[in-house]
Amino acid sequence: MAIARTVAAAMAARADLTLDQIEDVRLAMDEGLAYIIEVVPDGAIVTCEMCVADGIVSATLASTVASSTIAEPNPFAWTVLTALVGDVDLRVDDGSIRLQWNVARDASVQA
Amino acid sequence: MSQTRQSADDQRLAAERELFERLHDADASDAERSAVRDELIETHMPLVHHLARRYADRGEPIEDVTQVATIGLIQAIDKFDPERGSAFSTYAVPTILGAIRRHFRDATWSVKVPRRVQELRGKIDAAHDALAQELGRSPTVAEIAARADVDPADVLDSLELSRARSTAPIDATSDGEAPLADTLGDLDASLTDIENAETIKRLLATLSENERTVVTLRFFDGLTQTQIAERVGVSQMQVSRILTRSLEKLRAGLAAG
Repeated sequence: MAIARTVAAAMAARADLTLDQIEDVRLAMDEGLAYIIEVVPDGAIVTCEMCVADGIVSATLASTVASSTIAEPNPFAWTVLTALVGDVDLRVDDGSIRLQWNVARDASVQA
Repeated sequence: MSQTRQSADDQRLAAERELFERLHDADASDAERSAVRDELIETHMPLVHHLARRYADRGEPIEDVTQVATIGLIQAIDKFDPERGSAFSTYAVPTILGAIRRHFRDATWSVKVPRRVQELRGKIDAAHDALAQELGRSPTVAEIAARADVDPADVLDSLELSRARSTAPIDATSDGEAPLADTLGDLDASLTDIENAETIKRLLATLSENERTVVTLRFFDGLTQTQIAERVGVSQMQVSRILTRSLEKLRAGLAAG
């Protein structure tokens, strides 16, 4: 998780996000991974994909789950996640779980 | 499952909106408003704890982090304008995080860092604060690097470092590893003695023969000033003066390295 956080922060920095946004990305990675790691079975592989394009940093955390009825995210974790990053989307179907979100570069930043 | 979450969210938001309406109700008494404010603070304390815990491993006591986070929450409650239509949490989370991050930025380092890193951090902090003021938002790494005239990689490094200032007790153990204290060597006492002896020898050589004799008798042979006076054939007052003068020379020699 420490590696995922640091990589996320480094990518956010490269995408010219502000320092506060970089911290937001780091924290969102923390919240997202903490949730996914809790609901996936032991030994499952969690993939973190990050993409930087047109000033938007997007992240996709994905893994496999044993059933489609898994624990809801802790309401506070969800509150934090949705307050920190945009377009938070959680999908659970066909034995897979996918959590996506993105952060857009501040309009006043000249990249 | 997102539907159940949606309806729970709606209920919570409606309750929250009502509390904020009562907080801003012009007809309400101060006591009523204060009670509503307390209720808002209490219902959001779990959010404060949740956020504070995210910063638990960064070297500051969790109680301190929780305290600044709580102050952030209270500020958010006092400043939040329900008329603007957004949920309180969307406003509160950044405000609370801002308070926590300021606390970490202002906290001093408990570990000694190299001077170059300290200077770099000073420059970066100054550039950060100036830019934040000018831009009215948090600056980017590239903006800080340009302003402080440093490499963007150094700015990133400095950010990482400011997260890594926690200390652990030297005798702490983790995962069955030997405590750090056991893996470090002690200062070699005999080496220190040799070093001191060499320094003293060099310094004594700078004294006149007379002075050297008095110093040796006083500090190496442990004679009193009166005994030295008898041995050397001068008055005790003169011994005292020679000692004072010699010690001044030695001290000056020591300071000059």
